[in-house]
Amino acid sequence: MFDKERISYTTKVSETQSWNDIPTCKEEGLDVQYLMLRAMFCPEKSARSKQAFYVDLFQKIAQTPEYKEYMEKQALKPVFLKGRRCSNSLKRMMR
Amino acid sequence: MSAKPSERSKEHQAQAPTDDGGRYAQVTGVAVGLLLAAGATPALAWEPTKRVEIVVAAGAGGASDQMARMMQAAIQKNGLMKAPIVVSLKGGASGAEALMYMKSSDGDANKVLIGLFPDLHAAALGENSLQLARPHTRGRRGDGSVRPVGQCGRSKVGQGLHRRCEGCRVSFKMGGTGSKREDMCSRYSWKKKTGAKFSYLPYKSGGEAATQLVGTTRIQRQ
Repeated sequence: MFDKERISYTTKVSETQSWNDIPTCKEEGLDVQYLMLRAMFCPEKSARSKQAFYVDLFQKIAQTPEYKEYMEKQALKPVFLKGRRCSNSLKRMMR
Repeated sequence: MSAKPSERSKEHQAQAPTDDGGRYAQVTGVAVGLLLAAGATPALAWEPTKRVEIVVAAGAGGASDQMARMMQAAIQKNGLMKAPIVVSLKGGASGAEALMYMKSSDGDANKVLIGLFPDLHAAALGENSLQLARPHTRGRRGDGSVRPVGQCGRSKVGQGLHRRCEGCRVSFKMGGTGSKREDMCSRYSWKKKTGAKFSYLPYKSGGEAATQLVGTTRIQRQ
């Protein structure tokens, strides 16, 4: 697992193991971390009210069973960021 | 810009993805007409009245494509938006095609780009001649090509390779879609930490990589 911590999913995906049973690289003696982020972008010069609609929409999507099932099946870290926290996260990645 | 003529042919009007069985087939038939419950959004809030396009900065069947389709299904099934929604694939030039398309759509709030951030950043940097600045997170407002509106999830990758490459004289074959981008970054960090060697097989999409790599993973001893 290329993260500082194990992923939260504890449902068994093989006969004996869940994603949560997979150790981090660091636990296994290799101290590397690598996170990627999938982001949604509006075109430049989009009105704020229109951006707000999409932030709201994606927030609602993140509450749906379809979304939650997808995140778990793909073993994606269930983190949702918006606004300043999202921008800050992008900034950190560009360093 | 060159993306426009091919736009229509690449669109997928609520089709079930070919590589994902019939999982979404059931939901795509659901009518879009489930209206938002009264009071769910403020009365004066803007919402799109014409077709919304999710622009995928990656190839068919890849993770971004799958996620876009999942969101399309979630929107339709849960009645989250009245306007119809389509997914269009613009994965050319490592995602630069999608960035150019968005850049040519300034102010058009009926388009939303989905992509992995390191990929888009790399694509933007690789297209300096096109004046695609880095996305709008650093510097002045308005000097970037795209603007983040939200983010869904950070991916993790668990390959289990690291255990075997400790201190190693082992050479790995790595296949993926992130040539010169995230795959190169991660490969470099493993190499630096362990001395392991990698050869790399570039693929166009996650779908292709999965098909090509299934059953071929093995450790090669030197």
